[in-house]
Amino acid sequence: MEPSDKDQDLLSQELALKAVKAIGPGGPEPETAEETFWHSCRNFLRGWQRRHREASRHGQRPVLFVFSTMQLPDSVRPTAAKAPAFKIACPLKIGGKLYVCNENLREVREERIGFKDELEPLRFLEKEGLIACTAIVFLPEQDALLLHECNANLDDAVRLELGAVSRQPFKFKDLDGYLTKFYRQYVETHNGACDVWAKARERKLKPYAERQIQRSLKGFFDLTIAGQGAKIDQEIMTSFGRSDVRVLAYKDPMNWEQAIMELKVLQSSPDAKEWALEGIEQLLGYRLEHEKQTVACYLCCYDARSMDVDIPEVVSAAARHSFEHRRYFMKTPGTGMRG
Amino acid sequence: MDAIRRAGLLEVESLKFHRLQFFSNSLAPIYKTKPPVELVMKLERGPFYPDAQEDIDMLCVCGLASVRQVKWHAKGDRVWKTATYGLTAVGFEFASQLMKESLWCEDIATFMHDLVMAYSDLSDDVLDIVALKDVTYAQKGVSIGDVIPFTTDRNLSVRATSAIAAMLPQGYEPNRRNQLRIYLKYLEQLAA
Repeated sequence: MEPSDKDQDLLSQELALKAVKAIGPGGPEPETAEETFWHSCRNFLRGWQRRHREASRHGQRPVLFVFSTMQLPDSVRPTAAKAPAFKIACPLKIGGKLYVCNENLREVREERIGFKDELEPLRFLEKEGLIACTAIVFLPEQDALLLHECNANLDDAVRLELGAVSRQPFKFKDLDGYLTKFYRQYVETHNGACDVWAKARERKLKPYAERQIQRSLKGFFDLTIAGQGAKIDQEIMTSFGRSDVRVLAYKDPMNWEQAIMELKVLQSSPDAKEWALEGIEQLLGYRLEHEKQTVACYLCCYDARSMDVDIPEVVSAAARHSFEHRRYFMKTPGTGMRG
Repeated sequence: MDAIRRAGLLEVESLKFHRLQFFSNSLAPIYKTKPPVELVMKLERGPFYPDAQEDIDMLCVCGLASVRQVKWHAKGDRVWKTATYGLTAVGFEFASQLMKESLWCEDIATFMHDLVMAYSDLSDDVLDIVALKDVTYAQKGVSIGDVIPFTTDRNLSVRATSAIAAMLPQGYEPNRRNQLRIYLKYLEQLAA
């Protein structure tokens, strides 16, 4: 149904803009229940970090958050007692406890287990037959998380740094540094947090490596700059197609600045150059649509080719359009040598 | 009821149950689903859907839903019932099975899931009020006892969600889940 001018009279513009600011414009396609749970936990823990002083947080034991799409919280752990929803409550003392929750943490059931170290919650999942649940182990002492996906091997739990709470607002000039940090922690070596290699020694990537990097980068931003007030969108629909990752900073509900990142994984084939140049064409389209709001466009090339060398045509094309070109060489055993 | 349970509401009182019915009818076009009823009668205590009431009572008889705190009320020559409803473990299993086996059920469940999640994310203080602030329900010139049809262009709630989307700069269209969330958030602001 196309809105008419008269439809604007249905609404209070001011309150509608407030609602848009609270939820955000655009955004990714609907998430899975597991992703919603993960986002809810992250938001809760961010709030918990902000609300309680470091000294009282850091002495606490690991915490385990568990969610299942197949079972209700009370069936997952019948011995866990009903607790106030994390939407309302933000108790200081969460250390050593198991929390069985629904995906938006409105239903919370708690049980004191007394986990001693970071591996104990994972062992607990195995011992108690909870491997099929999505689980997050929060390590208050380290401001870090271990993420266990449902039915995954416990050894594959991904560690993520929640980071200290920042009181500094997000600045676009810092974005480059965060991209570098992501590279170092996630993809620089085959042992990084984002495991994109099917056969690292042969430099053979997994089928959806680009998508995997995109999701990891979004997760990384969620854990870092989102805490400074930036909003992160993934695969934003624009009339020019989809941009990979977008970082927004609002001044007011309808007044924002943005940086757009187009991610490309380069592989050892003659198409690598065309693939990267296509990214530049995409960035041109996105920028054209929101020229005023766009403060930076990054072409991030995650380089899985065998040689660590720039592609001159890509470098010059990016420079011609004032795009930030970043090429991140992904090292594997036997490579990492500059060509 | 499955969506209500998954959104962590555990149980809902009659009032909330019928308010959610109203939203699921009025906002269904956002998900391109056909609602069972495209009208609401404006009553003092808020939206009420007799067929849905019968359905939920039937689910309770079958053991798929639970009921407690059943109370009868009377005012003048009018009588009505209130209760608190929940989904039983058997009901949860059954709903999960339906979603697996029927594409139609899966589509409806997606809409209901997103709607109730958006609703349950609102402040507890306004959960009973937001439906009364809905632009269809609260439109001018409608008195208590009037029937409000909201077929196609008369569905002001959907028109309001489109109007909010039109306020955004070109190229940024909220996805349908966001449309629900933004609209209910807007109603929350009105109700606050």
